[in-house]
Amino acid sequence: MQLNARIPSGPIAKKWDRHRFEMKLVNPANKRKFDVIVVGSGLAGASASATMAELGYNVRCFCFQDSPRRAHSIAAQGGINAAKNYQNDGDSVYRLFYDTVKGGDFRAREANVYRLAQISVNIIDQCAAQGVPFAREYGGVLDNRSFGGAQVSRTFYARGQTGQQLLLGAYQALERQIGLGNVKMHSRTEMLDVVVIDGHARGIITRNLVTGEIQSWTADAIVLATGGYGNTYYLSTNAKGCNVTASYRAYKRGAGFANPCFTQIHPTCIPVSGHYQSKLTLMSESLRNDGRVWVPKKKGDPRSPKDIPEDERDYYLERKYPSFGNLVPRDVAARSAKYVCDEGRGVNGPGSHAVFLDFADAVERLGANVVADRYGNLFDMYERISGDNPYKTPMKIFPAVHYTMGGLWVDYNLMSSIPGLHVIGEANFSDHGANRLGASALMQGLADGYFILPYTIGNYLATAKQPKITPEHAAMKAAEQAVRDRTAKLLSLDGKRTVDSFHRELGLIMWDYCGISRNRAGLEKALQLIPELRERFWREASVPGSGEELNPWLEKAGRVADFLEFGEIMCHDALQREESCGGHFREEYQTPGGEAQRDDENYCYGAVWEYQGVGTTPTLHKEHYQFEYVKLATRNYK
Amino acid sequence: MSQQSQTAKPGGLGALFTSTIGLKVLMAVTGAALVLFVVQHMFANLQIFAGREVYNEYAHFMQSLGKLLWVARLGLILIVVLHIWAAVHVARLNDEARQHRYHKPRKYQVTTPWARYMLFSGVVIFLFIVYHILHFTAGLADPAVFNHWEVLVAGHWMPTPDSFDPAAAVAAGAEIRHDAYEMFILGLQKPMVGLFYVVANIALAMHLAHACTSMFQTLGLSYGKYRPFVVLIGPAIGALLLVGNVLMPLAMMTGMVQVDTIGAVAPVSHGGH
Amino acid sequence: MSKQTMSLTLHIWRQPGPDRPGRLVPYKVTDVSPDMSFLEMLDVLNEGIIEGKIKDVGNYGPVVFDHDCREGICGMCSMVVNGEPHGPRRGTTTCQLHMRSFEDGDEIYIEPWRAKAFPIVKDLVVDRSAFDNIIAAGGFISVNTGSAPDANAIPIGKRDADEAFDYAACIGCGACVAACPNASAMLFVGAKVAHLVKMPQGQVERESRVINMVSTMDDAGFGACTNHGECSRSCPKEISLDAIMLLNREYMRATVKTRGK
Repeated sequence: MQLNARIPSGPIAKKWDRHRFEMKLVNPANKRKFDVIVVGSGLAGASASATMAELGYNVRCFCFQDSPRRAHSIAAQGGINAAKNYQNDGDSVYRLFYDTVKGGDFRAREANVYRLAQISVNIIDQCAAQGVPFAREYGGVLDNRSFGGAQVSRTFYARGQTGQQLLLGAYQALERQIGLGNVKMHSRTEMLDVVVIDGHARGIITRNLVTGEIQSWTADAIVLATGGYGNTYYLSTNAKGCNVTASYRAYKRGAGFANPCFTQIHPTCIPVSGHYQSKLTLMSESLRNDGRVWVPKKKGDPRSPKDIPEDERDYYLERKYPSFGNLVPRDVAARSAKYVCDEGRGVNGPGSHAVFLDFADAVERLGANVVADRYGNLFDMYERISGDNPYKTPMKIFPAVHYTMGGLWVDYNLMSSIPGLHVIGEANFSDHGANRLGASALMQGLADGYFILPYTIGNYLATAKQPKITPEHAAMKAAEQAVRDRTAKLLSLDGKRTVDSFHRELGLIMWDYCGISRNRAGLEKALQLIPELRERFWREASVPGSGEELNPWLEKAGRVADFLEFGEIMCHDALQREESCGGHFREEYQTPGGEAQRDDENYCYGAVWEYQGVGTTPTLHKEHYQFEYVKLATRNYK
Repeated sequence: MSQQSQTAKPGGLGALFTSTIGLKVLMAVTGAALVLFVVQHMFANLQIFAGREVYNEYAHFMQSLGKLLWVARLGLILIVVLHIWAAVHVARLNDEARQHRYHKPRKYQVTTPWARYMLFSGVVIFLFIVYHILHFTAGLADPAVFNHWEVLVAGHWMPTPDSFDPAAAVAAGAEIRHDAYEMFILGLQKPMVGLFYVVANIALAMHLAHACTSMFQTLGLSYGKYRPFVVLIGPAIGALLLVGNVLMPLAMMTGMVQVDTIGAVAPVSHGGH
Repeated sequence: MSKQTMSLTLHIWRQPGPDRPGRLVPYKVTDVSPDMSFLEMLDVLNEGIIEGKIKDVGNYGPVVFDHDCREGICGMCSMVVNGEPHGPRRGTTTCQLHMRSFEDGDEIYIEPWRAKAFPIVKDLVVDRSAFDNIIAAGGFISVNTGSAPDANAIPIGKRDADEAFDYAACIGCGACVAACPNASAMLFVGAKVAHLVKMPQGQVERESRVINMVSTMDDAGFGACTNHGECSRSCPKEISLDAIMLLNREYMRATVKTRGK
């Protein structure tokens, strides 16, 4: 596998400009001769489909939900960063770039991150023009808030539903192109394979989830915007349908998968309440602006929080990180919560995993009205789920898997190691390094979809010059047959256990050994347990129903089968990375003070894995990162 | 999905008769006209309590409008027809739109019985209107009640006995006019007729309790802070019409208002004659 | 949090396909925790059916229902619980409804959204593509990527922005249609029209938007609003009836302004 990042030369601030000039263009009249397939309709997929259709390409967009508007981008709460410096507090493109590289613990590609910061300002303009109802000041200008510990206020938001509003903007742009006939939308359709012909990605195989029809689609370029793989852990803040199948199929067809162990565990989620738990719900990070995190000093303290006096409480974040306090980055906050619970100071009953997030001080300082104004909808949501009223009693929170920084490897043009196969949004690996800062996922998804891919794909189309193919092509037919065979194999499973029970079991393995903190022994154990579990899955799982109907159990079985293979790749990656960085914390590599210890000498690279067969250790390739602008330094939040 | 233009489809008055919102606007506008009419009609009729002279003077004035009266009548009929046409059309659309019912019936939260049975109250009102026209306008439903006349004697309009022959009187050069006062009171004294009027007016009140509020909503006039007020308009108008319109048949059925052949209403003391 | 578990009888609408007959089928579920979400309770039912622990009356197999985010924002979940879309709790989607809203021994009736414009796909799953078609007809601001002015070039008052947001909060679940005695979609359409008309960016296409959206809505076979108010009451985002009033107003304005064009 050749990894050429194709980073343009020249000073970082000029790279994107220069690259746009140097890229080949497709003549406007010729654009309609090119077919592009986009898989996924979230922020990245919808914005890319709409923008490419506006440019004149023939776009086909696929999503597994019943409507493109339901993609999980919709659930993002907090906000979207942009280096607008509207608050005049010293923000700049360079500062956003710097913060993002540093926040990602120096495991991202500088040139990509700089471009992201540059484009951030255009995103806000575009979304405002679409009618996204961002929060405003009384004077009519856009409001900003500081988010996720940033030292400047650069986060634009729409109450606690920023992802929803941005997605609806992109969705409406997409629907407009659908109405104009420029995009053909295929909802309730799942991609099950990518077809590579003569070294180029030329088509996909899909299953219509309603009729069960398996179909081939060909195109001149393929774009995957299929999100992250957080559901490998079973319990995560992802939607139930989020899956790794599209990315994993591409990986099996030769696309490199980069940094799969870089997962983000979000510190503020509602804790697990029982074995039946089907997903975890995030409580926006913004809560940490006014809430104080604590646990009792005493182990297994049975008292209710209001009976625990102030001097018997441990505000551990404020204690350990006096300058950032409750606003330390997500990975640090999540790890600290795990430690106090491991010490037996969790607050959700015996063996429990939860810490308090207390608003008593905020209510006293600001009044219940102000607190309600800021967090009312979040408090309501918490109350609906837990049955507790956070105005009166502290919230119980615990970290949960939230986002995956790793993904298919892409070059500066967002093209994977398979020519013609482009990957955007959370599905790629490029911008967040080992840890994503708050309010930057929405930024990246929209930057890729609105402003990067629609240009860079033109360069590919103008230079690739591949012959037209049809779904009748032998390679397409063969892939289609393989999908049929696999579907039949899944349907033939008639054991005693549900697919979900295997998924849950995989999730526990991943959480225990490849979760908030990892170590060699645990990862090696996981690498032994996962293949065993996979084998049992194919022996003992049960898939009811037929393939010619809406059959969620069949869909789930296919996805879980992929997770069962993919979990292994994550563990391989976590095992080889013998350092602690960002969301990846190896217990063997920490400072005497218990902080993450990065090893820039040996691990300053993106680990890109090449498929070698199920159960076989994949081949590791490395993209070494050069840091010319942001000096490698240890993150310090003390 | 087919190629489709994103310029506006033709709007204009045509949309009033084809689109769901247009049909509703049509219902609201015609309904508003009918509400104005029934309110006016009620106050006019309440003059019955002011006695024979006042009432018949008013009735005579209306009769004397001649062509204008017919324009008004035809206009009203047209409005009623449009209103009913739109209602039937919307009701059919709405019935089709549900297609399959819920097996466990929907547990309605905020709607009212009068909102849900608009079509039913509408049918009762329609039947009543037909009867009412036959009764008091065409005089075909109960000719004995309808055929009462006053004759002008020395500058005064005088009631006539039942045996009065209007054709002969006119031939003899007398000036006569329709005695709406007696027709009204005698007509509604009959218990079954009076009861029908009461029932119809209860239906009307129910209809308007929803309709008058609904009208404001449909015409885009119930915004935000005005909504709590607008919500009360319907029940208020409904109640007003109920009280006013039911008072008359009740007064006549119970004998509180009777025909005084001398020429004025005799407010009868309790216990009658 | 109470830890008492419950036993329930569920009557669930089972329908194998769009043109197949359907019926309510009874199921018994036990050990339901009050902390479970409604959908988790259905997961437990399905798991029981698959593992043979719960009687599969009529051999319909596990119950198919739409769901995805399970945090009340994607709008995918869609069921009428005891005659109320999304169940008894106001401002709550089915996925956010928890079993503590029910009591031990309850009989719970679960049906799909019922409307001609939302044909049943299977069991509790309906086809809501009519909503997408309505948005495609005009529920947008036509601004190609790249052609936007600076975001602060158009000031928008906080009140207008907040109000626009209230309408934009619609999640497109279709509960309004399911709740309406007439299966009317006017709250959905009104919410989008109101969101965009409250913003200066939405003025240019003001007339064509509402006319095209309403015409697509009518073609899809939704009923007409007769102002019952059930839609707003069932809306998990509690969108105000003002949306429909604004829709009516905008539609009348647009028909007048575009006449003869």
